[in-house]
Amino acid sequence: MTDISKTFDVQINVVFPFLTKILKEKDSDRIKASGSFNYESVPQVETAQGRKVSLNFQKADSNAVRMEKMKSDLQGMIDDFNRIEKVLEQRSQHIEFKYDPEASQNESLTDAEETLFGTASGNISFEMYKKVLEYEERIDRYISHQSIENGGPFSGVA
Amino acid sequence: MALNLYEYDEDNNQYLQISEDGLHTNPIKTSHNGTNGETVEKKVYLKNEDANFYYTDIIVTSIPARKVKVGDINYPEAFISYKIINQDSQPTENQWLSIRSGNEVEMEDIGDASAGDTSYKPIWIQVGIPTGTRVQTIRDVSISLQAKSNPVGV
Repeated sequence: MTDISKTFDVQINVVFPFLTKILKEKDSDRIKASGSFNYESVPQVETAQGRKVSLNFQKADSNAVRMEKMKSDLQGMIDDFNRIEKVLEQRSQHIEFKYDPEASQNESLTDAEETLFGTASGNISFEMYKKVLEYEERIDRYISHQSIENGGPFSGVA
Repeated sequence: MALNLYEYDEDNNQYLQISEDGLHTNPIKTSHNGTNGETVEKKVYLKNEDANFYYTDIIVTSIPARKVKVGDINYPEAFISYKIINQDSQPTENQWLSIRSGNEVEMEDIGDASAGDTSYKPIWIQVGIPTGTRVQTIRDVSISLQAKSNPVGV
């Protein structure tokens, strides 16, 4: 009689809720996809369009009045640009990058998504992409911090 | 030692051997919604690979994650539950509720002195992730197996 002892591996992946949703609802699409951007249109809430500027001066207008009209128009344009930026940001949340995680040419992408988000779904949303950029920035800061702690130079200092 | 753990791959109609000792070449994988919390149940199988041996005193234990901050009740990872039940049919909710995370189960002997038994023995595992768990891959969990190996016919 011999005593035996073994330890079997378990891995728990904790993922974003929308990623889980995509995995459950779009699995067949995910397998078929081979790497393409997908834009899912959404009901248009606000028109992303700037105003038309027409400087309508009267002969009698003084320079000061004309300046005020130009300032007003310019402010309007700036407001429109800010509004357009917000609308574009909102719409960009519906852009996804789809790829086939089963395809060998996508191996590095599969590894990257699995490492960052716990599982390789084959769908990378714009939100996830922004998150990756944020992670990258944090990692850079961390490496820089560690370097300084270990006696390395400050960034930009010889 | 010829007792191994397997997972059934329905897509390819085959049993896949679970890796051991932290190698993680083929771990039992579960995927969870961390924001809302989610519980996942899976069926795995214990199998004797060598008909010349039989096994007694078999204890299977779920080893939960150890990376917890003691005393910090706001640390969701501290409440990840991990349970095991050995039976063929999927356990009921009440069955899962009646046992604690990190439990151990005693299995029936596999084979006896007259013959080895190489059939697959089902085990269910349940992994529960609490609400608010951050996105991550947890590998600090495992299934522990203790048993006594005996030669057949002796």
